[in-house]
Amino acid sequence: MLKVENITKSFGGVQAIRGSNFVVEKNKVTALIGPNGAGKTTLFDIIAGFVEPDMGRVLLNGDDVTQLLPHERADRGMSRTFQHARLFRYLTILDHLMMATDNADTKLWQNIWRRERVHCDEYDAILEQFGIKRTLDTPVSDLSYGQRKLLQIAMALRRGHQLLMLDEPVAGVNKVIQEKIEQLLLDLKARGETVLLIDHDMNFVRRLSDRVICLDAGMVVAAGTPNEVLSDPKVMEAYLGK
Amino acid sequence: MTAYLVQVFTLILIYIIVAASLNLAIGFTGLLSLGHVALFGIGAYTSAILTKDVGVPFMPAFFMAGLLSSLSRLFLTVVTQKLRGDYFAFVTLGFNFLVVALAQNWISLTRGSLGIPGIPRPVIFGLTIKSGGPFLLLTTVVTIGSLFFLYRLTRSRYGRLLEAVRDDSVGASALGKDVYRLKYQCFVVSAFFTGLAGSLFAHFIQFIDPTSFYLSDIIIVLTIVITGGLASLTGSILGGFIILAIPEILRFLPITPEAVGPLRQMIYSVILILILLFRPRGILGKVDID
Ligand SMILES: Nc1ncnc2c1ncn2[C@@H]1O[C@H](COP(=O)(O)OP(=O)(O)OP(=O)(O)O)[C@@H](O)[C@H]1O
Ligand SMILES: [Mg+2]
Repeated sequence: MLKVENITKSFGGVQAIRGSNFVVEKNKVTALIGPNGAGKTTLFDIIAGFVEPDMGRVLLNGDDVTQLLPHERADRGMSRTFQHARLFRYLTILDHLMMATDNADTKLWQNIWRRERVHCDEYDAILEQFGIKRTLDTPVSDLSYGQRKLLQIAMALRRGHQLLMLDEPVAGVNKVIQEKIEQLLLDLKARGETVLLIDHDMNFVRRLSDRVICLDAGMVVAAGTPNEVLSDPKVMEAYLGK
Repeated sequence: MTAYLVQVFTLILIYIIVAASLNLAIGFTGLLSLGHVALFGIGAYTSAILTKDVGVPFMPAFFMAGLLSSLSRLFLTVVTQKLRGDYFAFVTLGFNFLVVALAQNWISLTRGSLGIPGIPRPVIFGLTIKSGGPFLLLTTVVTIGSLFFLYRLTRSRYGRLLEAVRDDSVGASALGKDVYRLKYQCFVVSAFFTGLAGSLFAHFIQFIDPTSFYLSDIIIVLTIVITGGLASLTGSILGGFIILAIPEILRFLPITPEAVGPLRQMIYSVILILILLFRPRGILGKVDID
């Protein structure tokens, strides 16, 4: 599904990514782990097109997408969330979900002449499914941190997608929401979705993922099944420091 | 007295079109775009030259004014594509100088500083639109049409998407939205209506020269937009009436006519500063833009 080839990236003097290679297999949940500053988010940004790599290629279903803009990659089926939810401060929950639904909103003329019909039931069902106990007309500025994360995942799923990329979906949220998100992700896994996710919680990663990739100082130090990777001494070393 | 009020009202409506379009360009992209006086001038010159020198009827000339203004804005957008913040503001401001210099020096086309006198009255379906009431009616129709379009645009999903792009373009592009194209469109639409307003202005005043498009005008329009509130069209309409009524009141005060101009500029600047200090969102604005 996704192939990352020889990616390198420096920010000024900081070598954030040093020649990373890995694949994300179709219908599998792959976890990207690694200590703070390992370069996980930077890799996400490179895969999704927000950061240009100094070298290397990103392939989606065998196509080189390295030159494509973020929105073009999104249209090819990459759907991502951000470590800190990126929501639009003056818009409502409904606005967000509709924006994720389709690109009809980018059509200038259509929007001027046609009145849109909104199927609120459909959107209410999403809130129900994600356990967001708010009404659709709630401005996102009123949401809690956890609710923002939930909404962001709901949006990423709502978009037509092949590959779901989640940057720390459960970090910083309370136990209840954490369990909710884990359940949602287990459902996705059962449905055979292809997921690439970043997380720090080893138990969470073990319960959820089919494959684990460990990144340290911009390099892939281990890749394989959760058991293999999590018992790898190099991974221990990466986390505990040398 | 009535004739005088009709004149003032016509001019206020023309300015409201410019202010509402400028508000689209600034309030819905978050970029301080300051080239609108030039775009207004391009509209005015296009329409004046086409009707007077080329003999094109008013209606096509009127739309060409909008179109050429849009094209110029497209050019400016390409040039400023990579710029942000202050740099973007500077270059778009500089665009005004470029256009005024063109109007001054491209004498074969614009007659330079002599200006273009005797711009014909608009003729629509064989009907000559006389000054006064009929011209006010024409201006009102164009104003309502423009505002209706802009209103529909900003209140639609498209408008909400523009707000999303303004507030977080990274987040919007992650949702598959082509943020560059949206900004282009926004600027081009904004320029179109400004060009139409320029055409109306030319046929209203019937004489234009490079000084008709003083840079100080950008302060007036900006004051209207900021007083009314960014991203609020109703605010721009209200702002237009408030800001433009002020100099008219000055005329009835015991001040020498020569003092009116500078005093007006001073009042605008003071209003702008007061609003920015004490009510940065303006009268009806609902958003803050960093
Ligand atoms: N835009 C940037 N400019 C400069 N340095 C950056 C930038 N983005 C990331 N870095 C640096 O690159 C390195 C990798 O950062 P990155 O955010 O990818 O780590 P991470 O693995 O996601 O960490 P965390 O677990 O804390 O989220 C860090 O040293 C960071 O300081
Ligand atoms: Mg990170």
